[in-house]
Amino acid sequence: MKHYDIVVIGGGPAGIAAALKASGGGASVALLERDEKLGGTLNQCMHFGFGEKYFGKNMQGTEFAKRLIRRLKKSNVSVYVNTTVIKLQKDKSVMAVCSSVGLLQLQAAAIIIASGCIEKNVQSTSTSVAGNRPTGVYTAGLAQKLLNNYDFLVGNNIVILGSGDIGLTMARLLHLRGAKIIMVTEQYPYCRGSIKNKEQCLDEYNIPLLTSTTITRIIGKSRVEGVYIADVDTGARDSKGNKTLKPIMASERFVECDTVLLAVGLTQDNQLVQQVGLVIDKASGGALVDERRQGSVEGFFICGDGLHIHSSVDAVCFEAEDVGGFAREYALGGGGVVESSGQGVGEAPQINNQHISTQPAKAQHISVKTCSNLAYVVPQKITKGAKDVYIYFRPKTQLENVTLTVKDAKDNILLQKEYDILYVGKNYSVRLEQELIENITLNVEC
Amino acid sequence: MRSKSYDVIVIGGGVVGCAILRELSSLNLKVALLEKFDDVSCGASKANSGIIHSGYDCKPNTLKAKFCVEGNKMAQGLCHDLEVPFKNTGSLVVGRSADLTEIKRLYNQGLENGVSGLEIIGSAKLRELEPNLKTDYIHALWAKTASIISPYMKTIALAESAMQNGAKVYLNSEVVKIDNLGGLEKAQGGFKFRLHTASNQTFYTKCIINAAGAGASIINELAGAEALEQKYRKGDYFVSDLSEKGLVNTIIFPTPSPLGKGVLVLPTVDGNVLFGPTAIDIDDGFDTSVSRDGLDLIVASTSQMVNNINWDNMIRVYAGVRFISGDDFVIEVSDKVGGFITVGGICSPGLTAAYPIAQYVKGLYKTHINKKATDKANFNPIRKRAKYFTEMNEIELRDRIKANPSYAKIVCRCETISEGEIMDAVNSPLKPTSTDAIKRRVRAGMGSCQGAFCQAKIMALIAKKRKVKISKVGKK
Repeated sequence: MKHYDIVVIGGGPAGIAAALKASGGGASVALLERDEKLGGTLNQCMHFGFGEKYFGKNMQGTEFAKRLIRRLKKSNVSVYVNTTVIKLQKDKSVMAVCSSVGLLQLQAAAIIIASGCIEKNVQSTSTSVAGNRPTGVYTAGLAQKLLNNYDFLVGNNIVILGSGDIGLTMARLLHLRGAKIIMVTEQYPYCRGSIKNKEQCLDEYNIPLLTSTTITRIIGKSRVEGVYIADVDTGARDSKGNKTLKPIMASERFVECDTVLLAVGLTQDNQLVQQVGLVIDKASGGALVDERRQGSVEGFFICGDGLHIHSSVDAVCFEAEDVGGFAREYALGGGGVVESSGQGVGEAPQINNQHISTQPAKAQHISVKTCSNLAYVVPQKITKGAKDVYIYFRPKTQLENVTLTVKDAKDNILLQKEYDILYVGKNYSVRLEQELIENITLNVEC
Repeated sequence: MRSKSYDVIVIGGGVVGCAILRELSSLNLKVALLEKFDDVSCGASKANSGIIHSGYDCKPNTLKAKFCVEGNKMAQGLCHDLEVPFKNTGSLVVGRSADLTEIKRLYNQGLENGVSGLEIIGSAKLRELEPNLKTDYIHALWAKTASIISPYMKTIALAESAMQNGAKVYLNSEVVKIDNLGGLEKAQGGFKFRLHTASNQTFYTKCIINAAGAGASIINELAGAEALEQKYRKGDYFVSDLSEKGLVNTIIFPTPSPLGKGVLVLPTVDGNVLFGPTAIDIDDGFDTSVSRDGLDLIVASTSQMVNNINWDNMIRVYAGVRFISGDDFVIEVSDKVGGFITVGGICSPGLTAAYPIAQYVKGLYKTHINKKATDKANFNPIRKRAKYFTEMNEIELRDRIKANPSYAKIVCRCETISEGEIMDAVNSPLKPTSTDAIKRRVRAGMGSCQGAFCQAKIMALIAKKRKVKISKVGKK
């Protein structure tokens, strides 16, 4: 059994950024990655649009990964690749399988879960696509991986379901590699990706976007032969007032194609979060966390797209760095020193299970609530008295010309911000500098 | 030319065809099976509810009733021999106050069919068994012998067991023409039939057993045997994520109505929850497209029966077709064509009845077609498969990884399936070539992401082994 102050699970951008930060100040850190390569999803992102904020330069995803990995190699972090955690327990013991070691057993004082996200498919009842499931149906990320990492273009005549940024990016990529993108369909009445992305990825190449339209059936026995698409009743709501987005079956029509790409979004990989028994927030779909991204069991921190789906890898890394700092602070029991001067915390400390948490054991929390226009907030609770807290949120639908107001329970306005547009496919953050003592609510009004 | 000649050829690699092949492999015969698709279990056998029924539901004095009750009794032992996942969950026919009469009728029918372990229970016991059942369901027929299995793993295991005992399985071999050599068989070395496949192979055989499922009517026609009338009824299903595990503990049937058995809610052996099937009459027995109306019906009807269903946690939809020929299975030696046995109309409880059907067919063969057939002295009923990663303890894992480090490389993260296990499947006796075929063997790609994460890697592993380009590796 090896001991580390902090074990980071996941070697994508979130895990690496968190591990780098956590390893400062003499903390011992291990990073476990299930793949043979570090970098996670970045390894299949050959397109630009990464790093503007984090590295001060617009670069390819693969380049972003390289830079992070270079930093990691210079650090003291012990890196295990081809290593998958099979048992994570509340006492922060970790059992993993590792192709070079066999079974790996670790004990940590703090755990950072950075296990990333998985692509959604479309089986939830309201959006499920009927028909067949022959060869030729791929999720967008799988098609990207097959093209960029395996040099396999998934089809020639492609219909894409979903106009989020991933769907748009894939439309351009496949078009540039010689496929015909027949159309992108979007069940909402607007493009879910950004306007800039729509212009650069679709309009530039005359790829049609059909909004308020969805795929109802996939046709084909061994290979896709076409799809039926239909208009969506965007006004219809269920008994709870949520949009049902039911297709209008009378408008069904056939579109010939050999490939269907499903680009319907991402969802957190909660396997480890669930294994430990951390509480999951139904709204965000990820672990319920405090402002330090600590889950419902003390000493378990969650970051990256495994916590909530970020709009950019830059945002992932900034947040993960903070989490790395908080985890280190927790593991070393250093009394709130996040920014280490590189000395004073002690070198290569022994694991001390009797460590003192930086908060009293029964820290009081305030809650963060939202209005019905928002899909979720992260964090969902805040330690009473905390300040300088970043709160992320995502709108439920596209909202234009809105004002966000953050209020406390006494109706004091803590922050007010105007937005020309809030995209449904993006998340946004605000920073609350003041000391937070009362429950707070995020309100968005048109 | 005569290299592909057999004493018996079974047409159709579903659970019934593979069970028959395995039974025949216990005789001193040269036997083979021809399957249209690229794997066994590609038709009704992969797309059903996976239930080992108890047998109260079948009309008394039918083949269905007889074979269902027999099949239930032998299921656990067979699954043990073949290392197929099996779980005795019991089933419930649940009813509201007005349904008690029908529940009593089913109970009595079960007794008549010789079903053991039946009990009519009231609200208290029902709540204890199924806490998520809606409170207006107050009566139930509890059939304790009902169980669940993995239907495709059973089919694959039967085929592998038969192969281990000398039988041959030809995949991608759709029979398109049958020459009846009747009267000339002496000149043909005793072979009564010449079969041609779509893949341009020729086979000779002394006996054909038609277990072709949706294609059974065509095969009877090609052979010039009695017409087999089959109707086709499609059933749609939803499959949930593993996070729904525990929603129900048993197989829950609504009380049947004149319209049919109704839509069920049940666990799978892997821990998912299954919702279905619908019952939609169709013309094409190979049409397994999921219908939108069907999905809506599943949601509407099961939501009335079970609380706390999280419809956002569904990971897959599928449809299967059952083949209906009157009220009973059609298992007959042809009067018109010598050496031909029809096994048609295999609808529910076909999965349960498959093995007794196979034994019955073997009996027909020995009585009517080849009285001289003798038992094989060294028939081996045990079929082993490599242990799954998730079944191994720490010591086994350590040893396995030491022997082959690829067992530590997890490819399918949802189901924790390693590269080593995927290669075990790729190298398994039927030499599967598609990602779906790998999924049926080791569950890789069966989890909540449905292969979005691992499919590229699995395709690459298959391509490398088969020495083909990755673009040649299909889903099915």
